Amino acid sequence: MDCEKFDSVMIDELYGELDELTSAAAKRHVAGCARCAARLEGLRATRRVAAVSLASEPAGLEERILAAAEHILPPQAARPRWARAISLAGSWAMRPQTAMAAVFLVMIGTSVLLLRGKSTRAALGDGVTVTEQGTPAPAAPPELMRTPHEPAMASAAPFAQPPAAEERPVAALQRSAKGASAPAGRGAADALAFNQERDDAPDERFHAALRSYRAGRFDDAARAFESLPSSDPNAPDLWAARSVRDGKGCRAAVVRFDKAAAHHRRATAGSDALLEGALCYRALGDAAAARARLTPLLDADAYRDRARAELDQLEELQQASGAEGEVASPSKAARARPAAATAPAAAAEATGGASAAEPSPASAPGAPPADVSGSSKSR
Amino acid sequence: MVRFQGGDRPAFAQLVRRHKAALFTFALRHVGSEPTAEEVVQEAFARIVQHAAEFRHASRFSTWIYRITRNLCVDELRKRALRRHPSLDEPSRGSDAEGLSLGERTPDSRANVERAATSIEIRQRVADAIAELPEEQREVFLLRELSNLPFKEIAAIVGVEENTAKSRLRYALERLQEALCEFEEYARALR
Repeated sequence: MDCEKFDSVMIDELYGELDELTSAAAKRHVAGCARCAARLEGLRATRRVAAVSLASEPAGLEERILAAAEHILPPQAARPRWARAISLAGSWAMRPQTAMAAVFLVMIGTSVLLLRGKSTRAALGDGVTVTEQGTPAPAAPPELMRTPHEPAMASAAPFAQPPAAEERPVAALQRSAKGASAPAGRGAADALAFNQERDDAPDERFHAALRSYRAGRFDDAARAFESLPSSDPNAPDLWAARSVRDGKGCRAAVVRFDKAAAHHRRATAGSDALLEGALCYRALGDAAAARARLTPLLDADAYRDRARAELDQLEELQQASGAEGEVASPSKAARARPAAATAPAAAAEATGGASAAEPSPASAPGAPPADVSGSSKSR
Repeated sequence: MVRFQGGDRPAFAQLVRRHKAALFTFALRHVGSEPTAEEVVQEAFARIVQHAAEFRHASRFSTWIYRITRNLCVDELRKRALRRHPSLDEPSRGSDAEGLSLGERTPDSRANVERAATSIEIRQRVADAIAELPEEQREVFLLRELSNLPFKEIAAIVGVEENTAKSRLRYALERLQEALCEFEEYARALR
């Protein structure tokens, strides 16, 4: 900076209005230029001498100014309270912080609404989903997805799809073993885990019902077995029939045995139901019905001997009574009842040998539940 | 000012308290008479009240009120110039009057005693030197030294270019330096 340039900025430097860069240049120039330094210092000294202090104002100046203003201003009408409230609310609402908060809340609310709408559509939509194997299947109802342990799961069977031909063997085995299928749209691995998780609760309930049965609480046991899904591999309907038989007698139980036999047709549980139903009919004196249920068992290797023995015994009883097909008298039925009560045990003993070749946990009241759950080949 | 425009009357009292002292001093230095300076300040605030709705905040409030006060001072000086006889309240200008009003000088001799003190003498000499400045330089000097307004705002108040305001201030300082050169050593001792 030369003297001419410094001269043009000297006033700014004197009053501190120069930017830092120019001020530093001016200071460097002053440090090396005695003439400019003397001029600047002279003006600074003058400023110090001529410093102007505030004059003491006349007393009452402020009051007189305000009084004059009051004469000019229109009389202030008392504003209603609600107008003040609106004014205050308006001034508060116009604050930038309020506006930012409002925008933020709108963004959050919109996001929540969009996300909720999207998830609801996804849950309720009946669109086709694709399984791991690529098999199209309708999506499971949302309640099935949410609460896999609820009894409503019993109705999940209609949604089940037969395993695809190319499905993994382990998944197919698990499906057939558990007697239930996973919700459509899941992969085989997911289905396996799903079935295991879902069946834990019925197993526990079956064990509880079995404990009631063993404790002699047949009514409770019957209700508990009947509450289990019919697809349960432990054949709870057969156990319900046994509970009714032991609690209320054969007359009330025969219909349940017949239903169980029809439900588990060509399965071990179905054969057990036929055998025990036949024993009940025999105890009731209905030899024809008993024979009709024992005869099919002659075709089953595991039940053939027992069925033949029962038929022979039935024949002997009929010959003894002298009238084939005659309905037994009530007193006779009453006498036969203790034998019927022991029928399950006898049947268990009878099928016990057969279970070596084909395990039949449903036919063994005393069999541990672990064995029961292992009856994967019974269906 | 925004609050006052919105109907908040107490906000006007705050404006008065904030600016009255500097405005009064500026007017007093400008017109040289305390009663006149008070009238000027009162009138300035009255105009603020009257025209508050017209203020659009294109400039600072201080710029606006100093401009009103300055214009009122200029008007007052013009009116005084038209009067042929001096007022009893009007301070006489020049070295012989020594900044005292005619009323102060005429009846009381105690002023001569007070003027014996150096500091008072310097103060009086400064006041005289400022009063002797041309009006256009004096107002810029007062706005800068009294109210510490930036050059840009001073230029807006006076109605000139910023560089013109700076030049006027520089001339004012050089005049004061010349008038007060005998106190330069005293000023250096003030550092």
